[in-house]
Amino acid sequence: MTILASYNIKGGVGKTTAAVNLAYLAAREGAQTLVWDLDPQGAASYYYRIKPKVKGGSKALVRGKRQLEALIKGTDYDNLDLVPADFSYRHMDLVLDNTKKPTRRLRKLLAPLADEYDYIFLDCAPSISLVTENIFQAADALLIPTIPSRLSLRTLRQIMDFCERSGLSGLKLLPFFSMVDRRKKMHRSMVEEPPEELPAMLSTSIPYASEVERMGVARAALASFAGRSHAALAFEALWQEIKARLV
Amino acid sequence: MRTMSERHLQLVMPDELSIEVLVSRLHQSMRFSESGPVTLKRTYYDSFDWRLYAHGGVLEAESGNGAIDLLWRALDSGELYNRQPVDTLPRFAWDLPCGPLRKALEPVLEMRVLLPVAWVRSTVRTLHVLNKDEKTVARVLVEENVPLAPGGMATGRHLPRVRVLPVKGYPKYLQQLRQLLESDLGLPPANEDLMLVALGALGRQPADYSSKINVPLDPAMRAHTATKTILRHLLQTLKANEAGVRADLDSECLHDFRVAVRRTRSALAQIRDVFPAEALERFRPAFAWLGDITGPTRDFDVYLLNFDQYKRSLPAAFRDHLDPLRGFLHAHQKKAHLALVAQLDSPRYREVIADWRAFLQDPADAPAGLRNAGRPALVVAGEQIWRVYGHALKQGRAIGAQTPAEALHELRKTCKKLRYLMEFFRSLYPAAEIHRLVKALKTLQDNLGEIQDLQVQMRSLRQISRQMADEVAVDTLMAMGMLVDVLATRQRRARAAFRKRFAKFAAAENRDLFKALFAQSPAQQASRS
Repeated sequence: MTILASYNIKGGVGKTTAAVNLAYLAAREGAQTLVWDLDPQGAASYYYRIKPKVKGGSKALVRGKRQLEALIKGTDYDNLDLVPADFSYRHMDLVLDNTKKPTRRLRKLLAPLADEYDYIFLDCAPSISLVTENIFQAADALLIPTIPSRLSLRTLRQIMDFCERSGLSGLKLLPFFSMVDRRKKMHRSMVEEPPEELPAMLSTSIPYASEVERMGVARAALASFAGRSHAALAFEALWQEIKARLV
Repeated sequence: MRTMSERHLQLVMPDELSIEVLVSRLHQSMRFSESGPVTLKRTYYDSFDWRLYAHGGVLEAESGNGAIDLLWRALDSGELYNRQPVDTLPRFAWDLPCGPLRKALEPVLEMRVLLPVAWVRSTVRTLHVLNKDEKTVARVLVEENVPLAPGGMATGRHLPRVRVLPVKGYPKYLQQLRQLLESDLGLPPANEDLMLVALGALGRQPADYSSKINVPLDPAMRAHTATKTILRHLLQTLKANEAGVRADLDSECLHDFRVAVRRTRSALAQIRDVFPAEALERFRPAFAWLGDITGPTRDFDVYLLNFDQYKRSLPAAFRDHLDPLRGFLHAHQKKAHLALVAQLDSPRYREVIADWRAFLQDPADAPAGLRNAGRPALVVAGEQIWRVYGHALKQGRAIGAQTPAEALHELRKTCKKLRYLMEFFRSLYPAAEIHRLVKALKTLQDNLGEIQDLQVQMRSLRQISRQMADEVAVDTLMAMGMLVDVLATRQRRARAAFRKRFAKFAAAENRDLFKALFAQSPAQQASRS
């Protein structure tokens, strides 16, 4: 089981899009795949047409009254399941804070699923908090969608520093450029020549594209309704690159 | 764990119910979108020795519109474990892309090739049951299935089936469908997987081949007849593998063929005084010849099967230098196999088999004067097993730390004879006891086998390196030298483990059990306690 967290401190950078589409591609290859929608906004749940509701909310889950397994819903796709979001996730920090070993709770919740899934994608809420630390502890790799701008790169630096300070040396950081708008000079130059002080960005970048926005109308993974689009092909290339980096 | 309510449902469409009526009844009570009908060809795969079936699984390749999906599911419940799209059908489990399906199949299939065993043409309409978010919450597959013969012609009757595939986390809809289809419409459950039905349409049973010996004998049967029964069974195994050997389907066809030959030779030599000397003089050299002509190919097969392990046993920096060896082994395996096929095509082979078959089918009694021919199988079996067992004990006890390797090789051969005898006559003895003794013997045999196989491999690697010396880089020869060293270390370790293994085999509790099962007279019983 490999746990991949789609994460950024910033919102609106394409985290959910990445989690939803990459998970779809993993499942399409035959891997048993789970997405856990940890964002109280529930966008991933929405894309997969699943109600963002968890019985007992985050409290029951974190306190161990409810097994994660019981919350799993099948999506419309083979091999792909989802743990839906819940509005109560916005208070998850507080609930976690009241448990023993609060930074390892998520990891413990995921452990029983190791035999059932090959990949688990965590779609994380934008913030840096106790939940974030939990995610970092649980994940094997962070997928970090990054918009090619100065400010975004500064944010990326912050995430790296945070991981370093927390002693998370085993956590792979896999940043990639997201929502790249070829019409913008700034985007073009930064994608072509990323600043040297940053760790190797993945070479695939995800374009800013209208098909990605159409996901909200189609409520489906990109490859299932616009498989030949640039954005869909970019996600396929990105997934191949991620797999190669995980070995 | 999945709860029972989430398991998928497989039902039979009764003749009096039309698909249209079924669909319209479903329309009355739930919302769904429909896709299809699509026509699919379903091909079921298993190894020659039915490993997937024995494991309780079904592997189905579903092809239509140019795409191929492999489905791996439980034979009894139909629960789907994996669905994996592939570009081409794999021959071996290791041909599959890395992933869960390969992980599931590799340990079951090991080195065995996948063979098509049955075919079905299906026309499938899929009803996607939707909730108010237009989310699929269950699928109903209405299928027309026709079993096919190997050439693609329809055979057997049409099998309309309804399958309900639940979606995880939506048990309510499954219950609703269950109520409607089972209770209201009265659809009976489909008790057999489609694979079994398709196989039945071809007149075939699953697991119709096994490399294990299973010969039911009657204790009062005359030894002459019992031995012929055993040998007929071995001839059947040999013939069953012949086509696979010719085509070199996988390494195990030849392996099973050779085991049948070796068992035959062992039976001819060890079950004494049941056949006339004239017959033994004819058939023992014939089967020795079959052993000889199949040997070289098997040797190369073994090195090729071990190759990845060889590579892994070297330090990482040297591993790739070993690759030319693989090429050499492949080329020589091919050559040896061609030579083998030429022998199997020879008049001599045909004559040997025909002659042997005629001998085994001859209903005439054994000529007079053969001590064991007319005695009961149980008595003769006990005597022979007891004799060879005593031999093994004596040889084993004489082996010390300094004893030359040949003595271990001799013991290995004796143990094989003992094992074969015990397996031939297994049905005459209580199952649990004989099982325990075979297991104890097997542990010793594994050790002896390892010592001897490593010996042979080291010797061959030396020979091969001399043959390759002019053609390959020095690095390759060095890597092979390192490999010989690794094998020598392993052999020393195996040799060091021998004493303990033998002591366990020769322990009092096993001796007592051997005595209780096989010793005939009190005098014999006293001799080896």
